[in-house]
Amino acid sequence: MANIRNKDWAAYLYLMPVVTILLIFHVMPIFYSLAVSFYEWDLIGQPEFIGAGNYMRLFDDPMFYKSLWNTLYYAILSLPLSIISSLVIALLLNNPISAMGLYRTIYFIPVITSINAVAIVWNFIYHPDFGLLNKILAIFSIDPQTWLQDPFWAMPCIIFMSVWKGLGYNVIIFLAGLQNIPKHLYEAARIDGASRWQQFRHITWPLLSPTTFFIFTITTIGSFQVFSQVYMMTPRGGPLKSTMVVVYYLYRKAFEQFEFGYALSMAFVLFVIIFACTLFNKLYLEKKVHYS
Amino acid sequence: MRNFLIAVFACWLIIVFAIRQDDKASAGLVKNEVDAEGKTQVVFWHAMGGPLGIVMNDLVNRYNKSQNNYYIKSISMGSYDTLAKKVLASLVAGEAPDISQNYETLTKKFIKHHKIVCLDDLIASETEDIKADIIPVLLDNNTFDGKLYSFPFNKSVPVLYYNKDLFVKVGIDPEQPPRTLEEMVKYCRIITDYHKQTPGADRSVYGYGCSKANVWSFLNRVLQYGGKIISDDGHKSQFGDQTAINAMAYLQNMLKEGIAKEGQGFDHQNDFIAGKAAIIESSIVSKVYMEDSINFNFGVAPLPGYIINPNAELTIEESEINRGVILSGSNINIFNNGDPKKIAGAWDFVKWFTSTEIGAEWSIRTTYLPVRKSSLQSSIMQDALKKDPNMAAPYVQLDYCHFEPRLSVWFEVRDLMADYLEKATIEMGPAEKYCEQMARDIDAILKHASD
Repeated sequence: MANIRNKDWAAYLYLMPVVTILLIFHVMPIFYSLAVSFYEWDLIGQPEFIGAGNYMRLFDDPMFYKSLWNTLYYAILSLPLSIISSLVIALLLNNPISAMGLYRTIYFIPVITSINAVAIVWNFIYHPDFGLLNKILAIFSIDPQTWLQDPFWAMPCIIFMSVWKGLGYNVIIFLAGLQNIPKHLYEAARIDGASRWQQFRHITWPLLSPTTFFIFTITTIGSFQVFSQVYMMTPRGGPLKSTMVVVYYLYRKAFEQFEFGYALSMAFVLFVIIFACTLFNKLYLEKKVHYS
Repeated sequence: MRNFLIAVFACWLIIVFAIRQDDKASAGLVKNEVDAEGKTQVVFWHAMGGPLGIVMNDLVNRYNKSQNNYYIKSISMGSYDTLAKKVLASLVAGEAPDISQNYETLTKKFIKHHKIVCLDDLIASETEDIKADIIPVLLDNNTFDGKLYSFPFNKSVPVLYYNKDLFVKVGIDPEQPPRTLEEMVKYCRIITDYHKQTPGADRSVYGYGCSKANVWSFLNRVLQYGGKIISDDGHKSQFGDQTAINAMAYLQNMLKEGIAKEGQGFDHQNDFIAGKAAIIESSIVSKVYMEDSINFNFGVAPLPGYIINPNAELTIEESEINRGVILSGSNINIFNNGDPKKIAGAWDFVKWFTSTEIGAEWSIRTTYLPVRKSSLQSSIMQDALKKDPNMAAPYVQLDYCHFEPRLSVWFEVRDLMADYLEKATIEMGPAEKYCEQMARDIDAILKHASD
């Protein structure tokens, strides 16, 4: 009996460092932020309690709705794009071809590169006058576009870059999922005369669903939190605010206009939205997942 | 594997050590840390980087060596944005610096919450009448309700940069930069057309370059057209006025005609350096950054003005041109950290930095405006002006220099203005429409503003 208790204590001791760090740097700030979201505060003076004032103002703020819509647009476009492209690449990389390690490395390099560095390089690629993209389009005699300065193209440009940047990560996860599918299923299918598409549709896709579900959930959460690339590539939230996403908007409110309470109320609304999405994924989509 | 790890760790150590050494060397701290002993340390946060930071560090070092009472510990925060964030965070944490550069909007908040020292109290004990020697517009800019709360420090004005070689090429007198807005349009047209029509000429050369959604440039133009920014009581904007509409339409028309181009960020400056933009409007401080990369003759001129009531002969008399420019850059605040010795040290440094001689040197080396009238008249300034006539443009403009409204909501207002300016040149609809909407939205903010 005493032994077990001792073991418990040892476990708590091991847990302590991480729990302490989480408490101090995550849990406490979260509750502190929640409290501040009910105040009007510019950091200099005393916070003034205004109840739900910040939240009421939020539901009246057209720019907040615009930023929500932009975030949704980003999520809706980047989710399928990133899942389909990484799945296709993972399927290709799952074949026994030569120099496989090299390909896997190449796809993973963008993931480990700093997003800021990547954004600066892509700024050059998208530059209207001497950008690589317009130079390539010129070969096919397509007129140069202004890309990041064009209200229509700015967001797709950022989405494309983000999908490219995150590709390697998803590919690695998909590859791990693919390796987990027992080979004998494919052998059996081949003996039964199943085509490659049938093998994918009836073996790979269902057995990969836990992986797909994981990537879907993680990517959803990530796309609601998109910030760095917007901040780096489209200062001020893009042409006609076409890339103003929620996190960037709350950053501007907090750190450029110093309306901390207001910015934090935005953060909590975003939290609720992400939480609801994840709950939906968990409760509804997970039912369709086959855990073998 | 183990050897490999040790090698990696050793490399890492060497790199970290090298960076530390380099940091210390560039900040000039290696030697000065010893000097700081026995002196009152005054912490100074600023946003001067690049060539400006070098001048700043040099002057701070000289101040530290010049006397034995105070040691200024200057820390560069990179940008104004970062600086403002750090200052606010430090106030919350109760660890504010002793001096920092700040915009007027923040100064107002500091006054409200008693975070800064009123400089009138410090000036009162001076034998010299410092206020009488401060350039009037700079004094007004830092006076709040009749009291001096911040000190002008690094103020700049916008100027025109023009490519003299291009002027000569198309047959414009390179010593006659455009004096009026109409003249500028004419010049831009000549330059663009020449390069479009002359066989073999670089077709990408254009007249006027500026950055997108440039609030500063728009406000300058509103003044040039004889307009005002906001009403005297500060509760109503004047952007519905014809002057604002003219200011907006001016750029729209040039863009529509293809004789001007808008770029992102500093694109217009790069175009100017590359010889593609013949005329650009930018801060005088950009000169320090561009100078070394420009390999053609260039001129720096005051911004053009507007003739509100043209005479019958339609000649251009200098006295009839209505000019106007707006100050940019920041002021300095002394924080009330409760230690009179630190406050005295801070004030001593500010006084030294903006004194006749040092102020003139700072102005010559960075192109920022000097604080004192006597700096402008000093012999080193006069000599420098003879050597580089391009330096004169900012000083000439002091006569008609203004500053933006110092409202606590001004950042928000500026942001909104930038949105409408951007919209106006992307959609290219009638300027009246955007100005009207801009005025309406801004008035909604101003109505609720406490000041």
